[in-house]
Amino acid sequence: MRPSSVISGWRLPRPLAAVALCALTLAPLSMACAQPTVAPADRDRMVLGVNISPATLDPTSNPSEGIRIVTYDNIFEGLTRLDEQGRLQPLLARSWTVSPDGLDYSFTLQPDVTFHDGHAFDCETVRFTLNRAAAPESVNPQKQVFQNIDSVTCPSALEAHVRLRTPHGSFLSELAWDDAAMLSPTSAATNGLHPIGTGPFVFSSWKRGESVTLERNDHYWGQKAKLKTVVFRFFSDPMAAANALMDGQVDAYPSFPAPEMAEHFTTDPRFVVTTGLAPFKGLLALNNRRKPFRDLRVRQALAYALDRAGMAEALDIPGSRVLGSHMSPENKDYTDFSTLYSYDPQKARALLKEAGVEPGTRLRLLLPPIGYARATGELVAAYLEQVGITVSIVQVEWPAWLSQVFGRHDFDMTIIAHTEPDDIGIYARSDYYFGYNSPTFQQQYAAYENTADSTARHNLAVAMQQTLAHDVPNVFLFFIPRTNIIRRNITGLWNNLPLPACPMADVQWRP
Amino acid sequence: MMLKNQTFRHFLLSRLALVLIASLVVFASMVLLPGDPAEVLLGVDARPDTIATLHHKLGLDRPLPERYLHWLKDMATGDLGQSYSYSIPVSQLLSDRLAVSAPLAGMALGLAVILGVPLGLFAAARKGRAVDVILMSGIQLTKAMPDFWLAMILTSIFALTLHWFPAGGFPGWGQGIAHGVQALLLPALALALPQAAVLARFSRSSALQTLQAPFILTARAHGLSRQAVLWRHVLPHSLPPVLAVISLQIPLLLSGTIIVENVFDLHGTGSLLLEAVNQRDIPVVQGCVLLVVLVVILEKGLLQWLESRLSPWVNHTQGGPRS
Repeated sequence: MRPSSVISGWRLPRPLAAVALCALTLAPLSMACAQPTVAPADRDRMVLGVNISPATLDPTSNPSEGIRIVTYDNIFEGLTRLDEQGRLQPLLARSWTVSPDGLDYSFTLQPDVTFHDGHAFDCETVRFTLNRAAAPESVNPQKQVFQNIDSVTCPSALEAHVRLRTPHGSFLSELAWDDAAMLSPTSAATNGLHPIGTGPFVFSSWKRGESVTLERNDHYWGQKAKLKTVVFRFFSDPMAAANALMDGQVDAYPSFPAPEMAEHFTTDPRFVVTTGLAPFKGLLALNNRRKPFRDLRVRQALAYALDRAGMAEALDIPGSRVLGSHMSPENKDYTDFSTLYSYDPQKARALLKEAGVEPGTRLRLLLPPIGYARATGELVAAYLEQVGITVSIVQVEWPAWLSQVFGRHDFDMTIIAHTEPDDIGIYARSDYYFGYNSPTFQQQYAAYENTADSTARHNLAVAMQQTLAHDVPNVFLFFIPRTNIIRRNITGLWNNLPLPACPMADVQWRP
Repeated sequence: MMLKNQTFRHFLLSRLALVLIASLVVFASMVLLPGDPAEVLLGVDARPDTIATLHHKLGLDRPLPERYLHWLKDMATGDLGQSYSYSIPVSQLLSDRLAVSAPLAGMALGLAVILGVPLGLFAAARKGRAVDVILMSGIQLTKAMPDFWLAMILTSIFALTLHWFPAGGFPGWGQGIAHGVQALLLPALALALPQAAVLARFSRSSALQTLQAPFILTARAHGLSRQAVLWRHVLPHSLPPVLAVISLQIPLLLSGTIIVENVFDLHGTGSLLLEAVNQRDIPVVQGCVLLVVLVVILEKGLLQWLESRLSPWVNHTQGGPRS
């Protein structure tokens, strides 16, 4: 008898079969206990999706957008604040005066303000906060702003006097950033783990990498928040984020990470999809220190060689368009110079020839691990191939990109979006990664920061953009609006994003 | 007794050496990789002096051997160090994440075994018949499915269409065991199915081999029922090779969780390791790798012991413990 025929009549032992059957039917059986939340169960509570998980909750020690989204105007407050349109508003400082030379700032402070730990807010807190940010051991991301402060004096508890070393016209709006959040001396050191501010929400709990929960501050000095509980949930995967929205686990997702997936939500009656302006500046950054980019003609040739309108279209993101300078359309000073170098490969070839760049010249394009960079990188390579430049694409991960491009300036070209607000000043830093060194621009920027007059500042902002457009230190590629997916009956969320923030005090469920 | 002690000491020392080598390799590779935790933390606008200040705060300005020896010294006292990015003890981060990953890996392994082994035996018992062919083709197909793809399919069917399970996230064990299990079942299934397919194949071929052994015929000749022979003889004899496969699958399950954790928005050790590598958070990477090495050493020891119980006729102590 052959073994095969021996086994042909065998059956699986019954207990094992039962176990297997159980396992297979386990899924359907468990439906009894499943209760998917589709409608908001609790009108006092809201869950928001956020793209970047913060490593610390102290915005004065780390520039991560994740921290700012959670804490800006929710936990922490500054002397000033920016509203949804990016306009400067009073906050902990009720009013201020600036001396004609732009050096002296006198603030009148909001009375009866206390920190969440009970510590009173007064001029001493202002002095402590500003001095702490400027101290040698400070790792404040905007340390240079505070190092320009000569002295902080307190004529009275509710008056603060700040003297600058050199005039700095952006000072008041930089005081609105989370880097200048007012801190209590009793809790400043532990804000990373347990943030204490003066804001309308108090910190409740933090599951690292997962979520941060805030509760309403019932002792808030101003208008109390509408919601009792706000949960910020962090997602690293757009698919997981979309699933959480569909599933009802997340109520709103401002700055949804995959705008191309948003279309799905436009047909879902539970949601509204909106687009808003945000400081998104997508660039092909060039290493101006290196040959051939030291030559203006080569940089201009690159601007002619790329069909930027086509590239913006290829991104397939509603509202994306060609960027005209290192300001995004949300900025009131934005001036569109995008047609200065319209697509003209002939001109590009001629300019390259004039500059002595041989056809077949090989350049390295370093790409960080971000969707738009990787997609655009291929297009850039293809366009430059057309004018005789061979592009080798090097894909690197984020820390490597930071160290190679930012740290060592070891790159020819890279694609990156700068999302910081009002950061045109990086072009005045010749030590910055793209190494643009223009005395004209530096003078314009110095004049811009030297004046507080809004008309003069606007004119100088336009002049700076004009200089950049002519000099092409980087090729300005595209602007992408932010996409917000929100449950239909939510009101009060910011649609635009002048700076990374998600103020929640006015947000509520509509009846 | 003497020999046993020596063997045990040999066992311990060899494992300790393994841990040391692994930690050294991880440390070296993290240091050699381009990227700097301070630059990652401070972002694109950081000025060189701010980066230098943070370097000093994190102790990154000290010589490499000193940093490694410091880590070793701390580890010897049970201290895994402090995370650069989160500024909290690595052990706390790990234990928070293990509360998700350990049950997930356990459930996945359990599901893989209870689905895979019986199916394998079932197919073996019906070798060559239609049901066997269909089963084996299904298994082949499942094996070829990447777990992230399975995860997406499972979510779209069972979470977003049927609403039987949450689409992702983990409510925490504080919300009750039922909710926790419900949240982990789909990801566990996504991890388990490809592994179950591998196990089914191995169980089938192992059972087929056992069925051909003369002692099966002898047992049958002694009048034992088919069921009894299958239970008492075929299953125990087929299990050792299957156990060996399981022991190979555990590290795979641990690493496979990274992708599945992402799709299901679970915050386990897999996503922690990925995050830590991306932020060059060396103490956390060291901690994660140490954990994986320890788990692998433990499970190998456990499976060896199980094997020796199942098949006492094999001398497992010969030539020292196997790894």
